[in-house]
Amino acid sequence: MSYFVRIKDARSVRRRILESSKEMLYALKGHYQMLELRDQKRETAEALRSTLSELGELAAKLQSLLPAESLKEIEQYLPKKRKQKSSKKESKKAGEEKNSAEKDKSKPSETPMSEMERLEKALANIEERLSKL
Amino acid sequence: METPLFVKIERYKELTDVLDQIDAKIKEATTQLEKLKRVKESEDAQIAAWEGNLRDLKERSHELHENLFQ
Repeated sequence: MSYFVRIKDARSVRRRILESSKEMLYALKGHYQMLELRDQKRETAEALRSTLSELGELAAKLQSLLPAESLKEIEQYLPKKRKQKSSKKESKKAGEEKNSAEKDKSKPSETPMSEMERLEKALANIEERLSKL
Repeated sequence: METPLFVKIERYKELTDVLDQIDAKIKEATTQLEKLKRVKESEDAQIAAWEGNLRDLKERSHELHENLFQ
């Protein structure tokens, strides 16, 4: 069954329909712009990840170029006054470190760690060293 | 009084080179992060534009309803 509908202002209706089409086309255009932006974001995030990874390698290299001994280990070469202060702690810590090193050695070889686990372990290691300073 | 402490650093030149490389990489990472922030801002702007598009469409659809069915 068909109905005939009276349109009061045909010109205005046409205008509204055209404007709606225009809006929809803008929205679709935005969709393609969004896809481009996501590509850019993915590429930039990947580049940033790579740079941070290189920074990590450089930090490791820097560490290898610096003296291996910690400040507390170096203190034993200083005059006695300073040595005595830290000697007790040093011997205790050295003993603990030795024990932990022995424990680590005795552990069976584990499955390869994921990148996330490796980073978490490295972070924990740094935190531990920072707390000792 | 604090006793001065001298630490021997082997391969000093290499060490300064690595420090320079680290500085360069930090600059690179900063630039990349800025770019990432700009892209994210563009994404947010696009989402806001979509919101505007939909609001306008809703308004026009309402006007059409009024024109055609009332």
